Amino acid sequence: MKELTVLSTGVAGLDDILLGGVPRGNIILLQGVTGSGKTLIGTEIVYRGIVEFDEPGLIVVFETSPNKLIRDAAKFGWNLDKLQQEKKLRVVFTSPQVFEQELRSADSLLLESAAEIGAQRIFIDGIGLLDQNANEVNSEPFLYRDLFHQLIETFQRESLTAVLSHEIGKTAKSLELSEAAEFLSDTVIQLNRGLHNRRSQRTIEILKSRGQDYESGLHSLRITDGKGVEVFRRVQAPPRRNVIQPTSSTKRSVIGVSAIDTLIGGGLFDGSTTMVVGVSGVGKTVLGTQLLREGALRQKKRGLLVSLDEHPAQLIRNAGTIGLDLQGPIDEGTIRILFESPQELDIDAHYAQIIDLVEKHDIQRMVVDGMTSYSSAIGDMGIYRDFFHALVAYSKHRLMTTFFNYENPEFLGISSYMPDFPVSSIVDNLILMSLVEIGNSLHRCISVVKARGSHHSFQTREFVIGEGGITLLPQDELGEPEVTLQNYSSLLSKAPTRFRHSPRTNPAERNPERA
Amino acid sequence: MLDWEILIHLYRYHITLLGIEQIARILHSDATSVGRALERLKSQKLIESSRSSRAVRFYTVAFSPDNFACSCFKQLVNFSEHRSGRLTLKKILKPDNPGAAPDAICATLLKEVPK
Repeated sequence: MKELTVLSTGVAGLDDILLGGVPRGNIILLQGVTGSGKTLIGTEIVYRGIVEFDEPGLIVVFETSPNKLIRDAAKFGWNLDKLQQEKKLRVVFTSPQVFEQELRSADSLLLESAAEIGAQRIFIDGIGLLDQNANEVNSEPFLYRDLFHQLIETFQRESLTAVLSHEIGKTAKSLELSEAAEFLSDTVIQLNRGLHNRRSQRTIEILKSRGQDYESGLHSLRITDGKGVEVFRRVQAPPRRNVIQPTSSTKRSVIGVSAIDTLIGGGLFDGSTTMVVGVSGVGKTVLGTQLLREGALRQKKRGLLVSLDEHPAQLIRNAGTIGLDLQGPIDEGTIRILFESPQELDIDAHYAQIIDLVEKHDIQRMVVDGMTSYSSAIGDMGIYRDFFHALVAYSKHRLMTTFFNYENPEFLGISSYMPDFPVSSIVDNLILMSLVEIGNSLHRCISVVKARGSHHSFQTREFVIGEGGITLLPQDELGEPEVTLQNYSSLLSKAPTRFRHSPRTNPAERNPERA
Repeated sequence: MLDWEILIHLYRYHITLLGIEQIARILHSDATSVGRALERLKSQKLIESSRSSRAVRFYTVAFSPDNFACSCFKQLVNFSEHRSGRLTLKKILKPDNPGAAPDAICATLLKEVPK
């Protein structure tokens, strides 16, 4: 039996969702609405075949001007003219009628031309136009199906892997043609272009592919000048590689931020995930910056700060004001910042970018600053949750210690850790950063609510942000602050009440006037 | 003018696999005139064609990119992108010198055509 070999499309990300590529000889149907990227993907599959796999190819167009095709390809850095001069590519303009005739002809010029250059890939742009021709010659409704059969037989005989583009219209006739084309093709790739809020978003889905498994569902597709097509696997798609994956470690690493290490009891497990919950302005970003900086400088753990809220320049400036130099580690490459505007966020592409950075730079500690911004940028709660789950799973797989900052909308006291995003059970550790009002001033305080596998403190401790970042205020010490938080109860329930007789303070030193 | 239109069409479409009738239909002309024009262009070595298969051939423009005729031709193509340019060309391109060499035709045209 003939061995099934795989043809790499060469399109960035497409081979990943095809789990390596398409079985060689498969008839690939690219179908979609106008502007979904059919012509571009077809052209790129042929182009990549030539330049990356030394497989010459043919592009056949009926309506598109080859001049425009070549001009548009140049925007992506693809020099089709040069490939034509080198006799590795032919862009042929013909009519559907002539094309159909060529398929039937024993001495076909088109196939002769393909053989001359040793073509292994052929892209036919606008296969649906053959139907118009079918109607001209013969009004039988199944003629298009016959033509398609003939097409498949011809390409199989010539050992050509064919990519056919088919535009889906809205008429019943168009849908009927699509159905026939879908049925007869071996691999069907559906391209879509829709609106997400007011932003146009392209998606790609493999509807079927004979002889192989593939990643199902809707994936994102992006067309980028200077690059071409990029496909981003949907974030929640289960990883097919490295089936056996570590999810936890017994190794505990000191975080390097004494406030956290003190409260958690000597550091966190490598690969653990921590949600830091707090109101705006309480110091979550400072803590995140400190975690990364301490990790990079003292623990030799490369860090990544992912932010949708603040531009890197602003993060570097703000950290600098409290003596946390971020620029140095960034210049050394031990800390990286990924900033993306939430307005134009494509979550699949963003996720792929995070994974790429983590793997390329061997990131061991990551801070995702602003889960709330993701919520508003993504909109769909299901996708938001998928993104979060995927990041948690990936962090565990990499044994990367990850911190997520979540902005709790409740200012003083909280009734729920994460009111609009109840995922606190998924993370290993939960840290609350709160503001408490005592007298007429606000105090920052921190509590470790959960730390799986750790004997953590349940005390709420006051902290200050100063030179070097976050520092816990000492306990059992009179002086500044005059009355420590341990003298109060109900700090997080909006009603701090001072103990009259604290069991842990010397009654002789108590000052009842301050209550 | 038909010769020019065919030349422009073949230049823009790089490698054309069509029969005379299909070219005539695209250019809104008649097959006999297109057939004659194609023969003239071939005899002037401005276009090349493959063997025929069921009255269909590959057609391509013949001059190489470093050819003088090609550089003249590209200038003329740019010139014909505008309506005024097309009208000027129509006036100049009269069949009064069918046997002249392509380089000579181009040189003559370029004298008439504003840069």
